[in-house]
Amino acid sequence: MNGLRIDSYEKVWMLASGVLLAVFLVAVAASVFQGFSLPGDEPRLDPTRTMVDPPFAQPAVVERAPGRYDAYVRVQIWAFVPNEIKVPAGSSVTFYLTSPDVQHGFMIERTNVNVMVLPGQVSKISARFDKPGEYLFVCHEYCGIGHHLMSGKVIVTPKS
Amino acid sequence: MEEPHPKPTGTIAVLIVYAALSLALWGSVYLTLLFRGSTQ
Amino acid sequence: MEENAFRLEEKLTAWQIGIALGALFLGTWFGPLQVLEHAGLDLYGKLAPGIQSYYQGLSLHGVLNALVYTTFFISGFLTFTTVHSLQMKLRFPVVNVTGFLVMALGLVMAAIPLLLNQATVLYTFYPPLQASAFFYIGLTLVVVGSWIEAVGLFFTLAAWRKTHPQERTPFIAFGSVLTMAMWLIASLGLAAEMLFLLIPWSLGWVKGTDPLLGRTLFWFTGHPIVYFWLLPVYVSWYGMLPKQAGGKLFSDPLARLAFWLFLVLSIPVGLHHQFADPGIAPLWKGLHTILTFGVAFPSFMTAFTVIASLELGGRARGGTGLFGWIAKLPWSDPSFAAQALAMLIFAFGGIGGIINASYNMDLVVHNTLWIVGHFHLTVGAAVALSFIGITYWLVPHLTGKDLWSARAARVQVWSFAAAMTIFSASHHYVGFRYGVPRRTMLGAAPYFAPEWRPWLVVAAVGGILLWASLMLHFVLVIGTVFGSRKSAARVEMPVAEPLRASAETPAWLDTWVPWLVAAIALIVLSYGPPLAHMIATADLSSIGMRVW
Repeated sequence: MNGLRIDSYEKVWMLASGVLLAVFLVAVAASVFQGFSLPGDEPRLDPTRTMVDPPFAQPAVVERAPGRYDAYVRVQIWAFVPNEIKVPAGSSVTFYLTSPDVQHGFMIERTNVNVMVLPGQVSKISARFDKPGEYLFVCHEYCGIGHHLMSGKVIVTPKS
Repeated sequence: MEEPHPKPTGTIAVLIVYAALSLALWGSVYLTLLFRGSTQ
Repeated sequence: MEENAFRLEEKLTAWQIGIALGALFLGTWFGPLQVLEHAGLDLYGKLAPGIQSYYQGLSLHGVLNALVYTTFFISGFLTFTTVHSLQMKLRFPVVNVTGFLVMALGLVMAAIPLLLNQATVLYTFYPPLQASAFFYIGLTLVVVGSWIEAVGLFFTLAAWRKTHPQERTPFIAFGSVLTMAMWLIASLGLAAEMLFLLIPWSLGWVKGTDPLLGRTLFWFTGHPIVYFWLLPVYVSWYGMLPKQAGGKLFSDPLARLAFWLFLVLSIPVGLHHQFADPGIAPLWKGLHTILTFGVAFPSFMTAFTVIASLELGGRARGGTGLFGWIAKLPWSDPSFAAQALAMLIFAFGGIGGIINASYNMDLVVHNTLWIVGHFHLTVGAAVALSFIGITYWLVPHLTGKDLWSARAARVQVWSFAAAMTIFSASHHYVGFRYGVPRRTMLGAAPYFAPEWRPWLVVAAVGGILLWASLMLHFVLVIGTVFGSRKSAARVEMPVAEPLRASAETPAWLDTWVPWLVAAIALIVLSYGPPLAHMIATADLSSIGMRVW
């Protein structure tokens, strides 16, 4: 750098903070390769037909293979449809969400399922439910006066 | 000419504490992410 | 220069700071209402029909505190700093005054629907929730007015440079004008959202809109707006505070380099607010993550340079050993104490910010109360508490009166810092541990879990103490303005001297074009492709909904 005199202590700190940031980035990259991914770019829907076109016109939980489920959830003013998703312990569930009206959120406690739900877009994210119990999910994006009423649960039944 | 001045040893000491704290807090959220399970 | 050389400029400053404080005063009242509601005490019924819901209150709180207080304070402050630092009056005062009047008109226009419950869309106003067209037009005018004021400052700096051809721009003016330049580029996203989507749609000229495109244009501006808030604080921390601490600016060139890096790196990062969004390819979210880590770097630089500058002051005042200099700093000066505490609190806001920006780690905390804790540390403390510290010399300067009570000001500053710590820590914890959602009338939520309550009660204590501390701040300001104790000598804007004269700072750190080109190039690279794709596939069919 032309004519830029930097104190030696400041140089050390600039290097150390750069290394710290690099370490964080590498750790993040490693986790991405281990399957900790963000919702991606799914094909768009026509938001005006969400209530009439499959799969969101009749949103349901579908078993694709033993222990592997696809859960279609329509997130609307002010309810999740369906608001109960029942699976046996050890299941992997892939959630597909959209909205027919305004922006919403979908977050399942004690998991990394945490997505925005937008009209015309499909939010896709998965989770594995090993422990039996009830897992609350809520809407966490303001969507009108009934926003705080929106919740549901994933019910994980013990393996029989 | 730069004015003569004491070396910023206190600053480095403060920043070492800060870097350690950052690593600890960042790490705890990272471990929580891992603990809560893969999303694929 | 004689006493009243900057009479017009200081009047313009005073008006804007006055409006800013008025907005903060109104916005602050909703804080206790919100924390009390979360803790189980709903007082909103008592406010009807003036305020119709928690969410209307929250919209007012966000718009008044995060948009109005900040924008008006900054416009006022940077007008003041630029002319005083350059020792030069505004080049075309009519431009700056016009800008201010446009901002004021916009404020009134946006305030009316907000108060009438026709803009209960929170300060992010995501479509397809639809507010009154006047809300969007009003906010747009505030932004456009700030551009006009920015242009007025650009003309002023250009005139100074013409008459001082070989000199380095004085640091305070440099940082001030750079802030406005960065803001002008940054606000283009919001302006596009308003002009092409929200205004035609809310006026009924276009039937529907595309929510993802709206969000993306918003966050194009929504991230750099935090640097629009923060850089004026850095102007004070680098350019003024070392003088107040009895020290010197540790490095003039690195201070300037940090500002240039903010110009280049503040904007191409907005997708980190959309990590949880559908419809955006991971590649672009990943690129914005790397660039966000890039913009963390000038803040790390700032930490060193500013702390080292203060250390020089502490040691000059007799401090010895590794930490003894800290106690020797001028803690009795409320302006210093506020900003030093703001710095300490900001350290935690910064760590939280890096966590939030770490791509998939956002899944742990997104849209929980952790985020509320985070931005109260950053804009609520680092920025607001520093602005409070600045008013404790600026208001005496503008009025020619002594600060009403330095002792009360110290109480105000320390109580603010303590309250913010309590408020923010509890929010971080309850969001991280339990995933408690933000933007939610929690007390009325059927899913409210008993484990949350003790933490929300602690948060309420913090929130109420914050309100009380701010009320004391307003008492101090009003007491000073209407007080009778004229200052013996007018308090002047503190100006820090660097260890090495700025004349020795290389010219490439005072040359605009290459940095502006770099800023625009990075924006094109990081936003061009995803925005182009979004615009090409845009589906303007989401109709507006008013469901509050």
